[in-house]
Amino acid sequence: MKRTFLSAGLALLALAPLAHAQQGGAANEALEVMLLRTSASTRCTDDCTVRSLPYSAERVTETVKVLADGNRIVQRNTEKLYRDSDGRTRVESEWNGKPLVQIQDPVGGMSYRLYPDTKTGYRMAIAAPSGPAPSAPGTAKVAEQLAPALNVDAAGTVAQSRSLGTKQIEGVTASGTHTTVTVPAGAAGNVKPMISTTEIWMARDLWIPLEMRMSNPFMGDSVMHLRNLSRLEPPTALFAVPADYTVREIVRR
Amino acid sequence: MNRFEFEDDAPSPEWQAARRALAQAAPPDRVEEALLRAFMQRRAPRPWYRRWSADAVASWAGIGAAACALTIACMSLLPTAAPSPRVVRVLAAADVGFVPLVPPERMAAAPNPQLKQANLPRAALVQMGIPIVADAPHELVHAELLVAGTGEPLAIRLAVN
Repeated sequence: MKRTFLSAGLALLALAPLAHAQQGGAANEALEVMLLRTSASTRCTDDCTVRSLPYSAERVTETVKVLADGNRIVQRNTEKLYRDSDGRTRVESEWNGKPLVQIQDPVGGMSYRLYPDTKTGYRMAIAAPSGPAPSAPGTAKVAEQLAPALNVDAAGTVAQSRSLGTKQIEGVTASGTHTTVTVPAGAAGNVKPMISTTEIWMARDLWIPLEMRMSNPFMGDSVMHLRNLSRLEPPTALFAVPADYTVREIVRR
Repeated sequence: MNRFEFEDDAPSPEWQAARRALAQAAPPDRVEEALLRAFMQRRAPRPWYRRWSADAVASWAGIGAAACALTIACMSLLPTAAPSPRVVRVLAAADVGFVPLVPPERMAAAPNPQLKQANLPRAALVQMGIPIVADAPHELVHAELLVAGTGEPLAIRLAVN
């Protein structure tokens, strides 16, 4: 009897974390599906696909955030990017402490999120969203777009944009744009003006951002740059799902 | 010197005589040490863990394991931190699917959070750490941000059809 009691207790102890993990798993799945849906929902489908311009590179992003108590949070993230001549792309990154591979295949019309540690993944057909397109007057300016989200009540916000000309980055000609958004003092309870800036350097002949600097009083400073840029054709296998992966299709509703 | 007291009600005269004769006697030191050592070996106090039977150990281990399991199960039903009622309301209204941009304790302590909307370029979302495809870096994605009263973004949800 006592041994039965002991066994039951130990079994409960072993099952409790599993129940907890399962609860977290459902929430994670909803999040993964939302991110896959965002990747697979693009108005830039066939007509925007960049063909015959293959490349591979590393994308390094560094973010520095200074907290109110003076503490600093510094994060550094490195991803591997690939694009083949057919316009298929692959991004190898880390998400929630685990490796993540995203493949966008405009030829097959599919978007994939793959998890190499479990050899599983999701896929969804690429399609344009059914709702109206968000308005983007001219070139989308990140700082201008972020400002209303963070200071929706701020009146008198001023945005200024200017060209930075061209420069060579990783052997490629890039053209730069600098945008400044200023929220005047007092507009959102702020004593001093709040200034957000964004600087983007786009590769003219590759259609990819080579450098991007964002500075926002709420989100901190972040710098992204591409390195080890190669214009050779990446291996075809990188853009296919390995045969031993179990991939679940998410049907668009 | 050892002294022994006896409580016999009616000791015999022979016993009393022997008692008087031996009252001042003492064993040799070595003998006394050997006797004390032998006594301690036979009567040494057992450690606490040897006082319990195997059945008692099994019972208490079972109770402990069940209690731990119940505690973990209860904790899994609770949020990781105690968010403010405003955060609870906003998150409940916003359903699931938010990507946290700050640790849970910062979100819980955030003053006066509000849900705000913006159209953000894919490149900016990737730079904020959201793992989505940004083949069209300037394409705008409709986003809902949970923003603290101080303006700090706490979580983000992307809305596409």
